[in-house]
Amino acid sequence: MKFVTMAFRNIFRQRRRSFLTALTMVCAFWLTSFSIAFNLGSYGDIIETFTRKSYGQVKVHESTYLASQSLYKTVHNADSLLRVLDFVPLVSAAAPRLYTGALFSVGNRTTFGSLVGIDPVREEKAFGFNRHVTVGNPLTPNSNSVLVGSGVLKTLNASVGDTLFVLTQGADGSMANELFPIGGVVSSGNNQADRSTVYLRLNAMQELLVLENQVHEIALLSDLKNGARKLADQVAPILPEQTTAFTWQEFLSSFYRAMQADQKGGYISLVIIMVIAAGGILNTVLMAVLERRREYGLLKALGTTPIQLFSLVMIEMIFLSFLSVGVGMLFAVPTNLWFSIKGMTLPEPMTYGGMSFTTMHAEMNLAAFLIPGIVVLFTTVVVTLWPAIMASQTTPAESLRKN
Amino acid sequence: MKQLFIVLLFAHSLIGQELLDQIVKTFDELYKSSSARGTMSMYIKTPNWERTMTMQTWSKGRDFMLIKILTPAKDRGVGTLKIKVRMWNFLPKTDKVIAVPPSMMMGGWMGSDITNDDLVGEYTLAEDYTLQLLPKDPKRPAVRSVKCTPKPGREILWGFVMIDVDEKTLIPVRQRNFDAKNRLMRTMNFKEIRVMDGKQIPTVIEYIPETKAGHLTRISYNSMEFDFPLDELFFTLTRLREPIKGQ
Repeated sequence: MKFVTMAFRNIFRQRRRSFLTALTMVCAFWLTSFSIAFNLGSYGDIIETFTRKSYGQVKVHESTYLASQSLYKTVHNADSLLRVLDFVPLVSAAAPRLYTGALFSVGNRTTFGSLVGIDPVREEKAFGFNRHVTVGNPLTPNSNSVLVGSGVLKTLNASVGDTLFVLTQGADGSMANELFPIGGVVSSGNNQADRSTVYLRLNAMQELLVLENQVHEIALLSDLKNGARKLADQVAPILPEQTTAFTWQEFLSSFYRAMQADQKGGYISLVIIMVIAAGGILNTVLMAVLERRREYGLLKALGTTPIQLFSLVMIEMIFLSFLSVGVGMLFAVPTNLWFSIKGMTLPEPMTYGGMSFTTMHAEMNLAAFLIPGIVVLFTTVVVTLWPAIMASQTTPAESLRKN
Repeated sequence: MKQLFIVLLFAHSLIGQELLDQIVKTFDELYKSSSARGTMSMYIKTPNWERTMTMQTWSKGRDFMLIKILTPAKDRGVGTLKIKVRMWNFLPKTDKVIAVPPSMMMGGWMGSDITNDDLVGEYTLAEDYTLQLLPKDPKRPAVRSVKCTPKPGREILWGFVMIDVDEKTLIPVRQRNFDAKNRLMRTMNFKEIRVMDGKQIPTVIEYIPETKAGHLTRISYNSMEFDFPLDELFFTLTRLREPIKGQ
């Protein structure tokens, strides 16, 4: 206990030196905390945009659909399944969809793209789809028109009110073809989708493809954040055979893997910050130990053991690091909070997975404080070992003579 | 003795060439005449669906062909017109004529295992292939096989084609198409040889794509007429769009 008190007092004996050491630790903590919070937050923004505004947190598919997509891998009896899903407590919204490739033509212009069948009411409830309809009118349960992506409209040199010819293959092998008036234009922000997608009312598409009451997916949302796994587990028991609920980490697996790899890359910057901080801490601790060799020599001459001297230096630095983490928190919490609310506007929009992002937010996450705290403490302990050993091995006669 | 052997060998090769010429002539003119028309049904089976269509066909030589679907009612009037190497599909539901682009030539015609390229195919055994009459297979004594390798410069998809014909009638019984790596890609079986309008033809042809499990296309000729007066001007886009009369 005596050494703990001594160590604590030592911090304040050389205030300028302690202040510089603590400043290095505070800055390292602050920077690392913000870096982690921003990393988590920006991916949180991307995931939120992907799942809540487009893909869904969970998707119900025919079990092998994700492995190899096919027109024929459908979820049957979609209407009754949707009615059951509406009663699952965690499900806040469910939107069925049907997909196929098709040839689109207006006048002499033709392009190939993706035809997507959606339930206008459910799609609006789940993903606020209608906000993407920038020209014309959204789909209604009775509308016979189609919505075309802004890029498709441009390629076809068409405008709202024109007639779109759609040609694809029906599930019975027939040449499915139909004429639809263009009712509106979709600018979803997903450039890839806007360049190639045409949206049609689900029932009309089921009729066109001869896939009555069948869908390729039902996208599900819950009010839980990060609740995809829980949602999938709750839905799984009520699904028919050959049908599976996949979390976004499964159906967006390549994005998820890229995100994880990117996050790991983010930790490299954390390591760099800590190496710089470690150099600073080592320098100041080493200087402090060298300056106090006479003091350590005297302590040893009075009977202090090497272990006690070693502990004295270690405890002093551990105290200082705790203090620095505490002060660092005073800076990091408001900074992270500010950027989690206001976000950071990017000088140039960032595109990820075809979607463009202009503002990124930090995330108020315990990990953003816990990880830097542990890292600062650990780094301090590691870099203090050498100076502490040096202090413990001080020879009393030699150090007293030198000074 | 040596001279006799050479004479016999020469005579044998002459007989072989004559047989080969006859096989090629029979094959190239099997369904193609100066003109032909008829009705046929096409059964398509895939792992996901199966359907049968009946259709009416007209052709003149190798360059002109018109096909119109009679049933099912949903597809009635859907047609395909071929003039030389160009091809169009007509979709009466939307009143659209679509020119089949070169990129879609390898696509299945009406969902079948017959490609658009098969329909457009301008090639003949006599002109576009190097032919080799293979020795008799003791296991199939009634059959003679011809290996057909595309001549250089021909835009033919296959590495080579093996045609098996009945030795007596010279009518094909089987055709196997191999790719450039000697992999069997498609088997065609010619069955139910009948006389139609004085011509002996296999009235059933099965197309079995070897790379797609569970797929089969079977064409059955119900009636055929050959060599009647038919003008090239019959094959027009207007004719393609014309509704089918009668039942």
